Amino acid sequence: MSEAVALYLDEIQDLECAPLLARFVRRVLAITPGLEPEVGAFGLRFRDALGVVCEISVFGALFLVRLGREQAVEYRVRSAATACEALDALLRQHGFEATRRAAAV
Amino acid sequence: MGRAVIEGAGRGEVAYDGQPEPRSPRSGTRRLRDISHLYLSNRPAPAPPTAAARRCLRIAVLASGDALVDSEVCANLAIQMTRLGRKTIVLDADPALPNPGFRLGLHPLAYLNGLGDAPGLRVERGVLGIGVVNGTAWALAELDAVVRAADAVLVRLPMQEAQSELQRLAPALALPPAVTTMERAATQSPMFEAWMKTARRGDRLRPAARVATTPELAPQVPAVDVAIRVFKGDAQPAAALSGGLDSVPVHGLEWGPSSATPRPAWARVPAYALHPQLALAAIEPDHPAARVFESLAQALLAGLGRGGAAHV
Repeated sequence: MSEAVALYLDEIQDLECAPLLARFVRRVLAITPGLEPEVGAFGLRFRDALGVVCEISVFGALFLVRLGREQAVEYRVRSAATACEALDALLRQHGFEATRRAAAV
Repeated sequence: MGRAVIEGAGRGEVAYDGQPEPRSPRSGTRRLRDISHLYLSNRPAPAPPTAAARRCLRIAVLASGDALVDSEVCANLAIQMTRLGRKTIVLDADPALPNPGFRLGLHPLAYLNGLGDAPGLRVERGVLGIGVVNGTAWALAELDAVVRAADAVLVRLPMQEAQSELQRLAPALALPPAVTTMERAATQSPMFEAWMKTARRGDRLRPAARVATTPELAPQVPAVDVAIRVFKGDAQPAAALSGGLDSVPVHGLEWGPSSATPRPAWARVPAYALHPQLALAAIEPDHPAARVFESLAQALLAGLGRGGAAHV
């Protein structure tokens, strides 16, 4: 886990959603090839070579996960089940883009 | 005559009055079975025979740096092994995502292990009933029971520290010692025991011989039969491509389009458009790439127990 992300998670550790968010972020960082994390006022972002693929905003008891290049798909995560669904959608998108790359070849 | 014969004691051996049958071999001289070293049933009652050890093909899939490709290869091989009639288990020892469970159609809660490392080993069932084991929060003894029930085990190993991870899993992946008829006889007869000791003298470890009867004689058998290192044809050559696992033949599997200067590979899987979630063999079994995976599964099963040379 990068230092910036670890610092961010440390800063929000008092929030209710922090433990679930830490597990979620750890799984996103496990996606290979890796996504580049970015920390800012918006919260957390993960980007690949083509742009942002996931943005996370934290709101106390829950965090929002927006997926896609346009962040068009949003998950309001309060439980592990919803977090798994959000991560599943991210992995599907990852697979879809790999398909497009393979088709381009 | 008023004589009754006790059932089960041997026809005509003992009469109800306890007198030996006149024509019984017990009358007069000792029977041959009482004096022969060759007659095994003369020894103390042996332990109940254990079920013959199942022969299990164990394949390691080494990560290439693209988890999607490794998982796709792992899932397709598992599907084809299952179609060939093998009870298949996929053991995912790599935390990288996506994982084989994702490619085998598991529910997110299952392949992400509930987003945490829930204690205890859980075998999730993917397409065609393929068993998938995720996470590491379980005891090796639990895994041992799962592996023993399987005919084929695919282990996805992380790119970093593949050797150490394999060593950690080795106790569960190691095959139970094969017991031959002669070895079984040696446990019951001093003559065969002496013969086996003589036969084992100067015995050297052979790749295909996985015979271990006593701990001191147990050869250091590899935890897997074969390893497959997946690499993408258009990717830069990995530095550790030829650095395989100790004593395990490593086969290179090229995935996708070949580079201008093709590298030697055991097999090549042609490029194809990945389904966002399911492995190719699950949805298009007649696709040329799925046929390649089928052929690879057949080749691996045909080489079962015969070791093999490395192709990297």
